[in-house]
Amino acid sequence: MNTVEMDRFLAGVEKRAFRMAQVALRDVEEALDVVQDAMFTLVRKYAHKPSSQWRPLFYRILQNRITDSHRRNAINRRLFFSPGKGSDDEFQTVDLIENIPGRASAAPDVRAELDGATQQLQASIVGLPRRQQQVFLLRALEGLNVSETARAMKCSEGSVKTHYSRALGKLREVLEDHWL
Amino acid sequence: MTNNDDKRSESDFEARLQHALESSTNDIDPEIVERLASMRRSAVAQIDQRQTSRLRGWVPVYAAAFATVVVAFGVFLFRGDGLVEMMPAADEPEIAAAQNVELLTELEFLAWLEETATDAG
Repeated sequence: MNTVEMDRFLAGVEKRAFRMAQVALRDVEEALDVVQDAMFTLVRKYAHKPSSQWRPLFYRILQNRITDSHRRNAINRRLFFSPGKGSDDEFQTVDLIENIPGRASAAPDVRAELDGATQQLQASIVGLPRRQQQVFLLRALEGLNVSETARAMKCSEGSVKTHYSRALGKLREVLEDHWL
Repeated sequence: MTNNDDKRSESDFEARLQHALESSTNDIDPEIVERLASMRRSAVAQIDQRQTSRLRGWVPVYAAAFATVVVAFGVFLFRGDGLVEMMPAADEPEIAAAQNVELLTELEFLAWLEETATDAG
């Protein structure tokens, strides 16, 4: 079992995995917990598998943990009537750019930078329905192909294509005016 | 706009999205980057720990097997006739030769006694 190879693999995916989890859960600490859980589970259960399988396995574990986290949050919202972070299927129209952490207290020149294309994109992705959001990130950010994404998301390849196409369409609607 | 223009425009937009997404992963707070690295190191350390404990798990088995062999060998060696059977018979001709010499000496002595008794008598 090659620890160097596993270390290299995890170093390659950790930042993107964190971004995915953060976008899905909208909470830094929860996102870190979920990524840590996914790393430990991959090492504990699948380190013996060929390294070519680690990527789809890792993202499958990550998606499972994100789903578990969403379910817990949904239960907590119902039990404690807390406002929560929005449902899985609604497109959020909150001005998320205004809510970027650190923006309010940042100096004007930094704010201008924060209002750039990257932040606009992040805010728009956060507003996507969860399945579309995760499929989009797995395909566009992580570069998984349709088949690998279907395995990670436990859905059909047709669903992957549909989710991705809808996500692209929504993002284009929101961002085209800002980006062009 | 033709179909080709639409497709080109869509793929340009997709490329811009991917580029912006990649930039966002380089924009993560350094403290979070360090925490991710620390988690990764802890996860990878599990592999070495699991390999070491797997080897250690076999030590009692090897020790038990070795002890069994030693005991079996000891039992075989220290059975009553086993020891005797195991001893080589190399000394027997020498012992026999020594015994013959003694017998001869005794017979000479007995003969001398005869002679002495006859002379006395």
